Amino acid sequence: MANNPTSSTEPTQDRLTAYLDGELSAEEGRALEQQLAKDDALRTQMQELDRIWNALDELPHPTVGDQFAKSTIEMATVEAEREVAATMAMPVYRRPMGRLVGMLALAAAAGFLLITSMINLPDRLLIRHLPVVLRADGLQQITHEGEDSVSFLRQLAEQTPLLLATVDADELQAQLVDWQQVDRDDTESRRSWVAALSGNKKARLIDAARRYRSLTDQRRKAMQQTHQQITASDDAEPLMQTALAYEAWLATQTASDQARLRQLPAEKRLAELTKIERQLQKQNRTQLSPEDAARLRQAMKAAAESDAVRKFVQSLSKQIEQNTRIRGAAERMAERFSRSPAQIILLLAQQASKGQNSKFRLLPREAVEALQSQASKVWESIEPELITALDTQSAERLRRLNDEKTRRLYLGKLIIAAARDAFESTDLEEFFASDLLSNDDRHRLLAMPPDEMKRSLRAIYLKQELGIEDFDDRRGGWQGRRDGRSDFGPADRDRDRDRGGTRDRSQRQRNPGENGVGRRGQREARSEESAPGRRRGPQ
Amino acid sequence: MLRVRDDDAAAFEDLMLRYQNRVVAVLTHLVGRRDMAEDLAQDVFLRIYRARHRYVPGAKFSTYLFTVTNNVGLNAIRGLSRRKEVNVAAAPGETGANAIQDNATEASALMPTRQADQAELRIAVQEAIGTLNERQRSAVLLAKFEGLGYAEIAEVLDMTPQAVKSLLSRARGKLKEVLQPYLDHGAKIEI
Repeated sequence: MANNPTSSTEPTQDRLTAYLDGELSAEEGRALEQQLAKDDALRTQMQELDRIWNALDELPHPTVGDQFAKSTIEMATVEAEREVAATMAMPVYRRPMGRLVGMLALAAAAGFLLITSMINLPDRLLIRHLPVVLRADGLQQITHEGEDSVSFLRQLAEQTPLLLATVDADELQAQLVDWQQVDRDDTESRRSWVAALSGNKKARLIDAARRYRSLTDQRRKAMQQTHQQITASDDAEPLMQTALAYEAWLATQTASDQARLRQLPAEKRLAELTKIERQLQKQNRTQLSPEDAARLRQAMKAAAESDAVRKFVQSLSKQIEQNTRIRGAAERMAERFSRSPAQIILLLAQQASKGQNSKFRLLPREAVEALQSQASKVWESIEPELITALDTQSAERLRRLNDEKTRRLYLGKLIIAAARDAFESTDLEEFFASDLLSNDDRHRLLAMPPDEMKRSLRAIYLKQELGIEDFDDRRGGWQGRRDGRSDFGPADRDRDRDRGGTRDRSQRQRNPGENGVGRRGQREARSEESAPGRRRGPQ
Repeated sequence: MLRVRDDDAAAFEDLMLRYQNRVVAVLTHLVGRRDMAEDLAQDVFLRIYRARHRYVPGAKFSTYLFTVTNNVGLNAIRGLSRRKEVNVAAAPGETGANAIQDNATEASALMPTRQADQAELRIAVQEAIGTLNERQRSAVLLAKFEGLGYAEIAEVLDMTPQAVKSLLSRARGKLKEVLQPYLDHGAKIEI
């Protein structure tokens, strides 16, 4: 049957093939069908062709694994990144304008491809180095050529416990568990672990993976080695905890600070970190437990009601009455002191140190000296009681401070900490509304976000009215150095801003107002006297 | 593809997932080497990705994709021919380099008769495909596997639809020559 004469005629076979492929026109199809109906041999030939064609169904249909799309996307990612790099490396005038427009989209696409590839089909390399990728940021910070990272971590744990304790302990524990787990896991379990991550965690891992990829092979190997050394140590777990805490602390620092620390040799880095630790220790001295705060408030109340303090308040009232002739000023002051015992205590501490206070600006020198001398004695009588109210450790620490001024400063900070609520509410509100604050300052404060405004207002108030440098343990972390040098941490910037506010004011205050009274004096008088017309300058 | 052109990365992944097995299948039979097909397919997708900004809508994407696939496949065949790693136009019984075929042959010894017949048929078909020239093979694979019409195949192979028609006709004739005895013989065994 294969030798049917019609089969050898190529045009016929073409037509049959086209017919079978559905490529004949309707007319040609009908014509062929008519022919087929009459011609058995032709029909057989067509059936044979069809059978042969159907036999091709036997050809295997290979399929690819998940890894295929993954690795292809990876390669495309690399290509896209190269494209971005190449285009960006071109001199500006050579960059094709149309492509420049698409550059951001391209970079985003490269990133997205990586994300897609990571999320859907974890990369073999990344999975293999998952424990390192997971902690890439931290490992990078402690991996240095020719340095012993493990020894650095041990010293860090020993020398900077407070710095390492600034991290949320629960979060740290969770990170430790994850790190240990992926370190133990085999490839499959690591894949499942990645797949089970929440969106945020996955995004963070992808970010870390991208940063890890951007490193040189040598650097990556060094980091792998660090990881290996840490996990192979007898004290692997404490080392891992230290590394995690250090990484978390670094994350609160600016990128440039991180870079600066990273570039320092281990010894200098440790020195820098212990400096920060000392700052934290200092700040820690002014931290109070709720129980301590309650006891201190109780002691302040008792002290404020003591005869010695009452007598001092009477003397002060008398001087103000006599020297300013502002009616009711003394009563208002006494009322304020009874409402917030911390204020009179702080005033005593301040005057015992012969500090400046706006309340005393209106008084003659002799009166101020007399009051300060009285304040010194009163302070000496109440200070031990206040210190005794503190827990043993804080009390001991304060007692050890031989310098009276420093001791008063620290105790003052503790007093503010204990009486914070009073400062936050009524006094600050009053201060804000009073003429003690210039309109410029008020506008500047009003332009700030609420939290920042409160902080700045409080700083100005404490500095100006109570002679205490602001500190705020709720800002988190530790504050900058007192010498004003640049330091780590965002708290410093706030502090600078606060200082800026105070500086501006002191400059303005240098300009004497009418009758030789400084504007500060005018404001003080207005605040003490509700009828502004009756204010008077110093005698 | 327009989304891929505009750097929509998710679209590229969609595209890959949709076409990867088809491209690998075509390349496997075009080159005759399953072990090379994945690498070649990867090359195909990367070329598509690289050229995404030059993609002009109008042509059907599958046509474009298989044009690239065909070019990549043919280049590979030429490379292999130069290195004499395989004899692409091998006569029946000489395509021993095919891994699938080897597996099938080995396996067939252990299979029941019916399955053995099936496996032998598969080998025969693969050998038959191997006897076609490159163009014929491409056209057959695109028509059979991808269901492309003559016009589309013509575009992929850069020839006229009429030429595709006779190309496919000749290819079928050749397949028939190789497979007919086997099929006839197989039919006799079944009876």
